[in-house]
Amino acid sequence: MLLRIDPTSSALLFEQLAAQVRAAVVAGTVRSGERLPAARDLAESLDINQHTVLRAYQQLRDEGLLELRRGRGAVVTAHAAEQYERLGQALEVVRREAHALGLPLSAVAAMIATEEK
Amino acid sequence: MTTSGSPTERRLPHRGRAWLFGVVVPVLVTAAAWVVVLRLLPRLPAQVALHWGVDGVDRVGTHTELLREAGVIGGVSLVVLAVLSLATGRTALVRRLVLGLATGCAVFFAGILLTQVLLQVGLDDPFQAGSPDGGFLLTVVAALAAGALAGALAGADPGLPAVEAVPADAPRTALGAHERAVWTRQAGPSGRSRRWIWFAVLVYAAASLGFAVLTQSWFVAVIMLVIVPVALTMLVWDVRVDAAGLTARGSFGWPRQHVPAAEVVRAHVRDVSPIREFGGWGLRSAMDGTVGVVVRRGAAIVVELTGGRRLVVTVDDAAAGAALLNTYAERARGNAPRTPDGGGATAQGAGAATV
Repeated sequence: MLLRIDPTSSALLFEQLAAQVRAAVVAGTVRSGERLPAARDLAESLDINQHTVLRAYQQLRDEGLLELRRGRGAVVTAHAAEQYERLGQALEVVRREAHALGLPLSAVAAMIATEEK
Repeated sequence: MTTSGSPTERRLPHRGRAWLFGVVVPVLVTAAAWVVVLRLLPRLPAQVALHWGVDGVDRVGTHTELLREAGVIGGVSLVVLAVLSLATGRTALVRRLVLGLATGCAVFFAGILLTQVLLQVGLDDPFQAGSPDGGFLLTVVAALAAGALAGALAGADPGLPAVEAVPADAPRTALGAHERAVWTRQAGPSGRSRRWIWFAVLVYAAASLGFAVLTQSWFVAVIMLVIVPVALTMLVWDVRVDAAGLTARGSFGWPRQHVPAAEVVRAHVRDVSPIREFGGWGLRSAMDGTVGVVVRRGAAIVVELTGGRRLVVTVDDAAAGAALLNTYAERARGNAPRTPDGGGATAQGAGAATV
């Protein structure tokens, strides 16, 4: 799995990480039962604080995507991808509509973010 | 040790240590053992025990036969390993392995011969000689310790940063100027192979215990079982590519193979055949000195390193790992300083999450 962070981006580092793991699970590139790299190793590789990685993992655990086990690290929950199936289908519709309207996806993302508030 | 910064440096590193642990120490150990044996020879029975079976001594012969057998096997080992020590060793793995073997084998053959002779000093009948188990065990422990020590002292690879740019046709990962990335992947045999391996381990363990009961020698079981955990650590590897370079670690964090990004000439992907190229699976060296972390057949990251070294790692999604390694190799060439940006990052202003 390729994980990247951009410290100059406005998105929080832990959110950047969580978003990529989530996307990888939904896309199926990370399978259920697979173990994610240890927080300490990941923090060292990306030159960030270990707590940032742990915060990303904890958020994904709260979403039901990961199981955090002492000594075993973060493991992708069984059937994690399935709970995103409907969201994935919905996103596919959104992408098609946006393409038909000629809207860039970043604009759509901004619309979704505004709607939340 | 190397002073030249040339990436095409062909000279083998640590030649002093290669002479010491590949030639000098083995010759001295062998010579010392032979001096002792030759001085004890008059005190041995006319017919000496040459071989022990399940029920004690099962073959005897003349002094000449004893010396000829020990001389041939010890001499061939000494010469072959001395030549290998001086002719190979471009990478730390091979250097440690060959120098460890050279010193360890010399201690082993010296110990076997000494055990054989010391058990028969002052005897008239070679069939009265006691069990060699204790002496053999001591010999094996001493040989492993001496080999491990020689391997540890064989020397790490001297730093040899690449000078030339990463070739333009080498695949890269698109990375923003401030972006940092890591690629991780577990490399190991497939699920079905894994079940077969566990099955093989169980059969092997049962066989070695059965063999030990049959021969009434726990020594045999210990020797046979010691290999199992060593072999198992070489089955599953954590492979990681980041700013530091490529790192592959065994299941328990060891053994570890690391190549710094600065010493990477280029990385690419190639299909690898473990048996044909490396003669098996695990952490290996090919005939041409290529170091391999090979756990299955198929796609592998091939890393060309400075000084003519090469590392091969069989891992899924190898293309992504190779591309990121090229990108970081390129970053390491320039002296663009990396600004460490730890902690506090989560305290930055909020914004829309990037998807």
